[in-house]
Amino acid sequence: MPEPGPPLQAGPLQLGLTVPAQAEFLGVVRLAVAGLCHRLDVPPDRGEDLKMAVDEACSYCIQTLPALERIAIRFEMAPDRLCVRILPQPPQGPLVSSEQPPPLGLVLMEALIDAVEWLENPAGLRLTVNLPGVP
Amino acid sequence: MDPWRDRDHVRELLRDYARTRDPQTKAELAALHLNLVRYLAGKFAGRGESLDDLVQVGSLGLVKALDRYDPERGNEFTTYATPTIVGEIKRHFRDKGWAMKIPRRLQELNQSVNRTSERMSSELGRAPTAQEIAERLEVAADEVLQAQELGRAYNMVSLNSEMDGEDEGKPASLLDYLGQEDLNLERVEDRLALRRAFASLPPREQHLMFLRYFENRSQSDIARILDISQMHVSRLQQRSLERMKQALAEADPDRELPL
Repeated sequence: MPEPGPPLQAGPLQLGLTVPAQAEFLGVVRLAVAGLCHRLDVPPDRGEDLKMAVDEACSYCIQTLPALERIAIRFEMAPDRLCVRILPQPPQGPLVSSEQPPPLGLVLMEALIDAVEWLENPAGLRLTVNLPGVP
Repeated sequence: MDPWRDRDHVRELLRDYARTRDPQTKAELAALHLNLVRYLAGKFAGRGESLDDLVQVGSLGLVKALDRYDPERGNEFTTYATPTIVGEIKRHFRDKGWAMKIPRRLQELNQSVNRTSERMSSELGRAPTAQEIAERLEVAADEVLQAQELGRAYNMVSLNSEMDGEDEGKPASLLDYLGQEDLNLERVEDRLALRRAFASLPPREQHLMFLRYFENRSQSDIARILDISQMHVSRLQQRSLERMKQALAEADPDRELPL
């Protein structure tokens, strides 16, 4: 079996993907996350966790945000981490209420990856997995 | 009882258990939260472990969470228990060396997908969709697509990777097997274009050009043969070249003229 080509070097690189806010398109998002993690040599279990977290975040947006048309997903690769920003389109108000307990899907998300940040302007989420091998 | 419809009762039980550590209350709480474990285990079901095993492992996490939960802190139990249950499930995968198994599993699935795709193509008379392959293999369509995509990446071959060459001791690469552009092919095109341009000239100019460029005769020779002055030969030659250039340019405006 020939050896696979070298993985992409994780570096300051950005990729974007915008999908209609429909559950049918979440498979496209999951594949994009899986493909990118594979090419960046992210350990497979970490890649799977990120894929699940992104899926949960997008599902949450689809289920809860009114007038949501599309979801923009931005991948930002730094040498030591991979961040995924999930930005509802058109831009929405606050995504979570501090008075209500967080939905279970979001708790799951926080249990899966290294950091979940709620962005305010524009409203969205930033999910981060740290990449191994970097001191 | 549905814990989601009677949260006050569950909170009461949780407070009781924190105070008394009564095994029966614990068992009741565990039963009430089994749906949470099933929900979370189901999220990991596509990773090659049976759902029953994952529910069992997740239940251990639930029991740990019940023992550690402090209702006085004000967190919802589900919020507190989820990371513990997920952590237990993830530890289970880690202990089984799952991270090492994923590429192998995807490669195996990739091979199954290829075989099934070939078989179904013969059956259906067209290429099957990812959904059809997924149904035949009893996996999710996402998994089929991922296996196709990632499995393909594992089979990527560098053009410079060494192959078994025909000559012993002389390594060959795929690059060596690729053909090169045959320059004679372009000359064939040039000759055809030139022939058409040549045909566009009047007979006397064709004769002149033939003498000049095919027989390599001098302008004075040609002047003698055609019984015209050398100056006239020069003008005719120039005019013929211009006509041929124009004919070539009209035939293929993008072509770089050789003349």
